Amino acid sequence: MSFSIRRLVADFPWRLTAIYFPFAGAAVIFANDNILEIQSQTGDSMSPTLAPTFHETGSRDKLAILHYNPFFNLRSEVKRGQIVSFWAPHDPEKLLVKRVIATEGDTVVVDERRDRSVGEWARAVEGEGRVKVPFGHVWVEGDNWRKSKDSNDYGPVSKALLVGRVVAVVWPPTRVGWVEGEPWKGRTKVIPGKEERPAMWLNE
Amino acid sequence: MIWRSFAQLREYIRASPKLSYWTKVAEYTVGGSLLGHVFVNYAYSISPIWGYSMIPTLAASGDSVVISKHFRRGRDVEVGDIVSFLHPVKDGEYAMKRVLGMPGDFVLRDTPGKGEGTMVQVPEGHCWVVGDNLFHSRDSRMFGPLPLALIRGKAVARAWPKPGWIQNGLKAPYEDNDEDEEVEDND
Repeated sequence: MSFSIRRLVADFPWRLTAIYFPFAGAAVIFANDNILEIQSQTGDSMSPTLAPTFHETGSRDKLAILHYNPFFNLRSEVKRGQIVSFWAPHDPEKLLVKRVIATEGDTVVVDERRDRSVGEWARAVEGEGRVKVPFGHVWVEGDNWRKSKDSNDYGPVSKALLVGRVVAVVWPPTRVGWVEGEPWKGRTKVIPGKEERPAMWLNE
Repeated sequence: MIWRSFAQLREYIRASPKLSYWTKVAEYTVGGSLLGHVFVNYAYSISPIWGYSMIPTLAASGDSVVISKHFRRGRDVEVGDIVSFLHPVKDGEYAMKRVLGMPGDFVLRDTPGKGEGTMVQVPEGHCWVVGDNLFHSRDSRMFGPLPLALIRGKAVARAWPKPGWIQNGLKAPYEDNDEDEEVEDND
């Protein structure tokens, strides 16, 4: 059998493709919403874990993000050290990637080296020096303490904003590999604690 | 050629009536649910209301509203709109409240007549949502400003009972409504 482009085009099931194209598009959207999404890491806030040479070369890592979905409620089981993707609290159209440093009930002893220049929250943090993460929220920080806008700027992030967990780097080829989140021991001190669901948020 | 094997597979399925029947059932089920997912998440959905917080606009139970997903993530949302959002504290639950403030607006932090009358500014990328039934609503007065990213849509119409459009109840009177002015002249 010899290879011929004309034969390939002639034999291609065009009619079937036209019929199934919308379904294929819907399948891609469904997968992106509920299963897996490929997203590019921009900025050097997660260096050296993700995009380590972004500052020097501008190379970005493409990340595989396992989505939280209604079928498996893994969002409630988010753990310290996992790298998550979430909607920026200050910008509804922007996705960020950061590491979960503390979950609800934990007390964060704020790392003083980190730049905390933005927002009212920062000033409140300066006074106390430690923050108890409220129910239903997580504390996220970038690995690169010099260049990271994170919970030190905008406060604890609602769990509802979490989109998915970063599981792997898929591009560039030299950096392909699984992303190991736990166990994580960072410089920010965390006093583990537990938070009961407040009486106000119990369902009748 | 590569397409030939697909064609052969189709022929094999077509040859057996039982196999072709079940293949068809599977195709319609999967295809229909995929298109349904896209429609429900990016166009419109109908969802029933449960809860006392939006009385008298929406009943505590039995009402259903049409939610337009064009307004997801707070796009084009204005003060006075009723929005459906993923609850920022209760995991995996949805809530429906009225938007009282957009980024930069100053809003009353507590219930009117209670507290010290503190006004707070809604931060960037957030909005302030409050239920119409002030005394039986758990809203921004408890959980603070709501990130716009959590909004999944706006209630544009009531589906059941008494189908009809939901009007923005917080527009300034006579702002862009000529008929009302004429009524005033008659008085």
